[in-house]
Amino acid sequence: MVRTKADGAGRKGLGLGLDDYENFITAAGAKAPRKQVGGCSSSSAASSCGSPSSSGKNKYAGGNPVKWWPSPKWQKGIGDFFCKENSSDEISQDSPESSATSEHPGVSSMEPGITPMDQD
Amino acid sequence: MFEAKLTQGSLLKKILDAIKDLVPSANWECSSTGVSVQAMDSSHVSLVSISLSSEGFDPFRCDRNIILGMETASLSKILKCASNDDSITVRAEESTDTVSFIFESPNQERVCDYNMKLLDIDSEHLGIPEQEYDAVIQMPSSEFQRICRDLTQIGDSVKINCTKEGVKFSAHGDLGDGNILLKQSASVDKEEDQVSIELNEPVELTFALRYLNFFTKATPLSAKVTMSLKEDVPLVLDYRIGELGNLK
Repeated sequence: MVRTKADGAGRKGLGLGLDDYENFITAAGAKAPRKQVGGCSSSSAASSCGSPSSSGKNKYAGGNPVKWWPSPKWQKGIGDFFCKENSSDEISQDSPESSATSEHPGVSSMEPGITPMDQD
Repeated sequence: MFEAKLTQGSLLKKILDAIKDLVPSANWECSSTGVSVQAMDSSHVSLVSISLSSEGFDPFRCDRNIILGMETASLSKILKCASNDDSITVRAEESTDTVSFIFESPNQERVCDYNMKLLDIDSEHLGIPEQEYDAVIQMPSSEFQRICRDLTQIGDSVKINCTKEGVKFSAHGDLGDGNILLKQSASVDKEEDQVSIELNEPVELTFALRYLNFFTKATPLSAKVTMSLKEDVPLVLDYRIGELGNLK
């Protein structure tokens, strides 16, 4: 251990001899609080603060992040499978009252009883 | 007037988290039976369908059917202002071009309200016919998310092969290939960890992992996902949102 002037000053300031001072800093070091990382207590560290792969809470956690590939060239559009619904019926059924409300962007009225999930 | 209060506001936050990267804007169609959305992604490859029953809200009031056109990113930003334990009330008058969101803490000591401008969105409604699928697989949603994520390391697409033995997910690419086989499990303790297969006919279909990984953003909504497969028919992933409804 390298001794510095400051070590001596600290020892003299405490009024301790060399051996007493070494005992003092050893004891003080032993009692110094350890920094907690991630807020885990020592008892729970093994169960909840391990690596992602060792987490017991979710066995699917950890692993690789998603690699976002571009869409493959063979990818078809959803319109190739499902037909567009004919909306002309819905428009023709619109009452004058509902066309008045459609002056306000985003808010439009539908005929009661027509819900998209009915066709699902 | 439309007014609907969702006591468990975190569900609406999760719904928005699930769709915000896929659907840029959507019409939220409100009727006496509930709230529904049908929207395509910007490249018109996938279709998102949300159905929320009026019974999942308390109170729920819809005097006249209305459509609320909203940009998903903006709606998501507003909902992020709500705490997870807040209740969320959505309110819209027919005579205005805004929608209001009211967030209330459980003890009602903190009440926030946000108003958002509505948009006129041209949306194409697609008619989805009733289908009988070749295979219907129920599995833990987290398991499916993990499979889709892992296989993106290998290639851009996944081949899903479902037989009576189980369901196999395979990908291949420049670095090699990967296969994940899930067998039907009847002996697991938790029902949500179970893999079950209803098989009419063995089926083998290939899908772009890009879109499957977008769909798996709905994983926090449901412990289980139901996957319906049929030749020449789009894959359906169904995430049930408790008694509230579902997201497909």
